[in-house]
Amino acid sequence: MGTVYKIHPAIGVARVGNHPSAFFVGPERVGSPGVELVAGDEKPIESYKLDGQIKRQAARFRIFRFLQDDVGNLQLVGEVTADDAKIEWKVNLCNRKAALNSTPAQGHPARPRNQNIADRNRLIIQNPTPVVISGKDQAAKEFNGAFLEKPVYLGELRTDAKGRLLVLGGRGKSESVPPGADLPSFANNDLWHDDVADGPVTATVTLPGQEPVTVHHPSWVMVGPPDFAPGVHAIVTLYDVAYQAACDKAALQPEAKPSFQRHIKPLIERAAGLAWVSNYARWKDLLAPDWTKLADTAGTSKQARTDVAKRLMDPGLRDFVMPDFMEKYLNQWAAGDFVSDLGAAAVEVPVPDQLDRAALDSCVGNNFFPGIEASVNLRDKDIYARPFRLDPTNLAKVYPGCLSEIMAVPWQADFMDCAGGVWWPSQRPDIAMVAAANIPGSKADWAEPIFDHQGMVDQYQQLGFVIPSRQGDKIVYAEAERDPQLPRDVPVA
Amino acid sequence: MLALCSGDTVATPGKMEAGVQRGEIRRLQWGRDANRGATLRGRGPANLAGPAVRRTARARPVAAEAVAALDPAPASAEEETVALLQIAAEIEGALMVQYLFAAGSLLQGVSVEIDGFDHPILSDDWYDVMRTVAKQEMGHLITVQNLLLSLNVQPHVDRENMPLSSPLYPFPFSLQTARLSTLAKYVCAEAPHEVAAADRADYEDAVRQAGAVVGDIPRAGQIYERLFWLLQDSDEPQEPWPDLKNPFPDWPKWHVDARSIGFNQDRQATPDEWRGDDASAPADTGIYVLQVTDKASARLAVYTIGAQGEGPEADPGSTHFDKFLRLFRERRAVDAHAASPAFVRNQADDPKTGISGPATITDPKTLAWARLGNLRYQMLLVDIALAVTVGPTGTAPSVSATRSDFCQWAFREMLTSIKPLSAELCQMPLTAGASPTDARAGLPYELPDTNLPDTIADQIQYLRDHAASSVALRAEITASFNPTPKQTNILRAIGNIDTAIQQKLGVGS
Repeated sequence: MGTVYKIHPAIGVARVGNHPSAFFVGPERVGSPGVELVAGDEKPIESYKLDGQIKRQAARFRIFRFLQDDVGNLQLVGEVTADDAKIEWKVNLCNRKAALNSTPAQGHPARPRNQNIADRNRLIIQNPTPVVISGKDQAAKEFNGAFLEKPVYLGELRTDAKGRLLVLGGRGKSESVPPGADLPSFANNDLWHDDVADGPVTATVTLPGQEPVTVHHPSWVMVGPPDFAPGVHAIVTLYDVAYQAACDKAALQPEAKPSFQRHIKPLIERAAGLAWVSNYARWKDLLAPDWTKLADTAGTSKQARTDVAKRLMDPGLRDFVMPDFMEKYLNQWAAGDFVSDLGAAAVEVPVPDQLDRAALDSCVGNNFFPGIEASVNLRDKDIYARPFRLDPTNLAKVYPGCLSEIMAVPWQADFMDCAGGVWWPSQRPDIAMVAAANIPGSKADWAEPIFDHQGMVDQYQQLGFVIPSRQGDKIVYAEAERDPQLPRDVPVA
Repeated sequence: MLALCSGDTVATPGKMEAGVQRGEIRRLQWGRDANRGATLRGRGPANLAGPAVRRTARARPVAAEAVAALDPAPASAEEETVALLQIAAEIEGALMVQYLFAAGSLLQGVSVEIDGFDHPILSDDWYDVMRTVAKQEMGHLITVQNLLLSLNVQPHVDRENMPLSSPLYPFPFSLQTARLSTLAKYVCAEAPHEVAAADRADYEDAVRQAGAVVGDIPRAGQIYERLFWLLQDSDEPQEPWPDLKNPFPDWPKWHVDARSIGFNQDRQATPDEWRGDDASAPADTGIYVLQVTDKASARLAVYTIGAQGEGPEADPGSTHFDKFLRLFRERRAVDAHAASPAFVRNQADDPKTGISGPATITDPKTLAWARLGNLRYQMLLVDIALAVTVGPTGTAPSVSATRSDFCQWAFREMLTSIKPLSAELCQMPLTAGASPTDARAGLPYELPDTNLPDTIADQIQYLRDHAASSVALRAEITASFNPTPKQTNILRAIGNIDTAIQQKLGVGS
């Protein structure tokens, strides 16, 4: 048996924020909002801002050791930390949005940018070399690049008390060079840059007295905008997109019958969550459905199951694409061909798989025009070496900046125009309940009074987060931490 | 005969026109019936705000009405097609703003539970439905421009006041709040050729409700039915509308020649530009922006628009008719329910900035904002026209603005000026000295007395002049009317558009 080192999550997700130092670690378990590292302890995050500024979300990476048998099966042994070995992490973040030279796919809004600038390297924001870090509780090591000769901070690396890697992105600052360039487009604005990025994460592991070993399965990190509704998930997440790509590659296979508890109920809950950020009328009834009825395989429940399945497959979102395996599960469920296991105990999932899932489940995969965290290329099975893990040897499709380059530049422009509740309301709310005790009477336009691209560039950090709270026996989602200096006008009755 | 602009030639039926090169856009200015509409476009007759006016019922025109329906009478299938497309564009544009106005009149967050409905009735739901339909009408408007371009005719984005005597226009243009009779009008306008049995009783109730206010309402869908028929290769039905019946069987039985269609493919709007969808998108949510290369694609475009409106073979509940019928039913139940809260604010119908009448805006601050709203609406229409007139790589003559600029400005007008302006104006008092409970105004969506410009040079000058007027008006509002923080942001967003326009087009007078 051989030893295999893998980094998890396979794709980690960080998010920008304008607080100079405060950050939290993004979700590492399904249902967790993330944790803050406080004096060596880890506490669930309770606020997304500090002193009115948005905390960055860090992507935390861990190394796991597996034993591989003669036919390639892997058996998890456990995590390897700085207590066990010297771990040297290496990350290469890159933002090459402004240097995009082609349209990624028919119908995709990204277009060649800055075509009149011949030296494309001037448009690529990247530290001159990959950044390396090693040890426990290491101070920040920064990524500093440039855009048209203007310095741009792209993020930093840190480590936690166990020597695990923490990747932090930029501070959400978007500018034009020179200042004052117009921002006409939601996706393509020449002379503009932002500070999201993506790139490979790898490491070497040196056990005491042994030679360094480069991890066999490196990871990838992507830095995206803040998730302003962190408890609300898209109906289709990036995990689902990557899962489908794995099925397309025959690396994974959907289960013969969907489980109501594991596959169907979460979908219904995700759709119900849109009530808080998109269309309360449309989804309200799913906030407290008759689970017993929906989990029943009996023919008497068939109409109810069919109605809900149809709504999930056609949720009124623009360019909505549901992966084949999810459609198959919903059709099977509607037909009564499913495992009726409502309330079944959670299946034990190995920590590495939990990390993979939690990171991508917090990202939107419904529709890519271009998207929030990543875009259509994650549907391409050829970019993966293994399920959920990009293939860095596919140099034509996988390179630093490959995921972010086809996203909107700056991201705030697309964020502004994704109003209407029909794009990505789970990340960029369209509405928010302003008062948790007054639902739905306190519904308000989440982005008001920001009305244009420049306004979103200048003021996004003042917007509020839609978070859950308990009202009596119910969980409701309402806005919190909005800057009082960004007031909404009081509507006339 | 056609009132053609100088230098243009008349299309000879069935033949390529001499002197008109492929790609050169003709300007067919359909002659206007002097009796059509009021003298000031966008301003309905004053009595629409008052007692109901009975109109003559003419649901199906007879042969003699072929002349009255299209005046002057077309000399060819192509000319009739162009005339109907121009009327369709006017109807789409008019319905769109009427739907937006009605949506804007709704109070936020109102709900009521009524027996017989398995869901609470929500004002926010009505708002979402009407705005979605309005966006889809915008897609129809853009697709109609593509159809006109494919026939080598220039875009038509003007909005005629709907004439009272034509069997083609559904009802006179009137900005009204979302009350029962208003929704009834929309149901009737979007009705299919045959209403399903399950909907029949409610549809007939809508006909009665609407009829009490504006008389019988011709279906807008019949225009698309007739267009499809004109685009058929013969009198024999064709896919994708094999069960189509010619809505005007006594009209000339001619069809568009295949050689007359397929022009200007490089100028036509694309789904990418307009964030729209192709014909494969579901009717419920799709915003169709369809391109036309030949008669088959023209038929598909016409059918797809028709299907989304009235619904041959569309999914139940997904058509405009279905949506408005549901709102009609709910509104009727709300009105009948003793304990219903108000769903609609106290807002004037047909607010006006100029003519003295029951809905003239006299509050000075509101008046300034309403004038700004009118400017932006007029600029939007001209942006649309330029976006589909200028070629994909060319710039407008003498300026650095490109097709992409006009398209982006159109979106900025829709999203960052008209939408927030409309929301603000729905909160502002109509009259000077009004109390908080007196009528609110709303965005008037007025057009000037003259036609919108129809040459590129005139359209560019129009934008320059309007941007200059907007600069002055914003300064006046800032100096004289103490804008709130939200209003300041709106003015700043509009200012960014004006700056972009002036940088690319120069400064107007």
